[in-house]
Amino acid sequence: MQYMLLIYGEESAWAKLTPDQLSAEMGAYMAYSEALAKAGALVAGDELQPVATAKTVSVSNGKQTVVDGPFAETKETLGGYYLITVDSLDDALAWAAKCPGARYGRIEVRPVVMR
Amino acid sequence: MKYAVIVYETADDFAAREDERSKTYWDGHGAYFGALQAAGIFTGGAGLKAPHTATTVRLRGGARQVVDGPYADIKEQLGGFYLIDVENLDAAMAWAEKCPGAATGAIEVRPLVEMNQS
Amino acid sequence: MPRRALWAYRGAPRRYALSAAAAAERVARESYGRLLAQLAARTRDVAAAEDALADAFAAALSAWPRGQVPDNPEAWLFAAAKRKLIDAARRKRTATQSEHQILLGIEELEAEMTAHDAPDRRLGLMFACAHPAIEDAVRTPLMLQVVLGFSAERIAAAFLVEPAAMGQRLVRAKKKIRDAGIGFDVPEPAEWRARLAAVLDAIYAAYGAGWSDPLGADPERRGLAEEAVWLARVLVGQVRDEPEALGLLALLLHLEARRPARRDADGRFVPLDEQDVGLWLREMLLEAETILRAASAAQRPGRFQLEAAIQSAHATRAWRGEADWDAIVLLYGALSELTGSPVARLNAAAAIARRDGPEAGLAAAEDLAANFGVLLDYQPYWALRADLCARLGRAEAARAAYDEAIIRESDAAVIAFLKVRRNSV
Repeated sequence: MQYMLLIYGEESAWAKLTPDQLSAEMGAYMAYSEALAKAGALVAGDELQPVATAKTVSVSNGKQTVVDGPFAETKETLGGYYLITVDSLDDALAWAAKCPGARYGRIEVRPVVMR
Repeated sequence: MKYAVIVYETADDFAAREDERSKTYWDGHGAYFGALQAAGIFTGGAGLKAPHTATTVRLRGGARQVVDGPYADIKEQLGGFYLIDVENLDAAMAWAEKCPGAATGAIEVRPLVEMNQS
Repeated sequence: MPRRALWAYRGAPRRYALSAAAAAERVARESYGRLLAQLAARTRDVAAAEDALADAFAAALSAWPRGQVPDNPEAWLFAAAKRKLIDAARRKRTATQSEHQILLGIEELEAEMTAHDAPDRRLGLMFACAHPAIEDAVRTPLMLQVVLGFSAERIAAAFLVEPAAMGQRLVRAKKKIRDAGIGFDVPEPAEWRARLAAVLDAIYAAYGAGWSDPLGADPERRGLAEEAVWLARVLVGQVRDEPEALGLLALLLHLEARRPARRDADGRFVPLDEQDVGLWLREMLLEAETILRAASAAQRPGRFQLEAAIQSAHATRAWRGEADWDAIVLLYGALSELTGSPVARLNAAAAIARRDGPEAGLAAAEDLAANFGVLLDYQPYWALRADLCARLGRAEAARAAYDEAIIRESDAAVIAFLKVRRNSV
């Protein structure tokens, strides 16, 4: 089964990291990606740029509106994702718990539509 | 540049996936996907199952905390996303406006962090 | 009489008399649960497996109590469900599968699932029902439905919920298992303790749903005490060496053993220390003791073992004329350390009152309430306070406390009891 690991966290936390801490975080993510790849579970993964770079489109009454900024102004925002292939939810949860983002943010685990 | 075209759907949108509107729903996304591929800009993405299938995980103090449900109880939930590689933001926006989810929900467009790594 | 020993624990023979019809129903439900677990484990689609087995199960429930239970109940059920299973397989047929292959596949399934050494997948099923991704409130109902085959109506009645609402929650939960891919796997070692605790909590909650109607007077509201004990036995059968699972079963058996004494002939509430020990089920108490001893041998104490030990110390009254209050004080102390529960501490205060006198008990209770304000909403706190004040001759304080207890109680028999006590102060 394929699952998406959606990494939610507070962007401001990144700004507070020292260069060393930042580099350690990046290292942790790289190690995590490698572990996933080695286990044959990694399908894809990406980091998103900060929400300040976002634009949101919606259509109401036939009119399209474009707003600067993310869809929702929430404390924790979507920072990235991993798409993995594993046998069951428990396997996906185990990987989610190992994701560096789980330590300070939240990882939402959702199965992918396979059609 | 690589962008994520992130689709937020209402509860009704999720319902449309399964009820008498389901053919329209899935045909719509199928057509969009086909268009992205034909334009040579599709690089990835996935449709997510409805929010009731979500589980949220945190690691605190070395202990795993698992909770039923998506990360936040908001009205519109993440339904899926498309990854595209286009010239610039305007091009990405043009594609976002064509995405089926735009009419009922909302589409957020955000660039990916591109790293020069193996 | 059916050939299987239904209450087997480490090979001990059945002790409690069941009518032939009731025993046959047990066999049907056990076999149903086994078959369902095996079928659903493959696809994670519990609802589809239920559909396939529904008619066969209904036939078994109707026929077996009236006649002979078959030698191989699972084989009987599978054979009765075969047509539906074949139809379902046909619907899911791939382009390359022939009719012959489908039938062969079903035959293989039949041989696998009905063999005498077929694996029992109910443990994985129970873990799935109590998975953290499954909403808390539906775990117990789900377990009762998929492991024991009880209807949504029966379960709804016990939990005082509308049947339609209960039905919907169960549908959603089964969808979650299928759509989110919750497997029927036994948890990895790092997660074992927490996941097992969730299963134990769900079974204990089933027992709790049966607590308020001890006479089982209303067949619709009979509660689920027997079913909870049953689930605990199924679990112990799967994880024989798990001390907390053994602890839970011992606890439930202790509580069940005293059921006949909890209401008098007129349906009035009888508090524990006034119960007629002659009405306690001795065999069940002895079984509880055996199980608790087996649990303690593992030297891995836990919440349910402590709770069982406390009930055991109460049961001592049957043999020695007096509960072991020293032990009860110590055990509640240990329990409150383990769980941080103010309720456990309150029970310790009640035991202190029995061991050291009402003044010591009242002081302990008041000290507790000062530190745990939540107890002021808890009926047993006020009932204890009232009883101790009465014993100390503080009539007005006692009556006031009884009033506080009464407004926080919903069980009619308990309210009646508290009123009698209040009026006799």
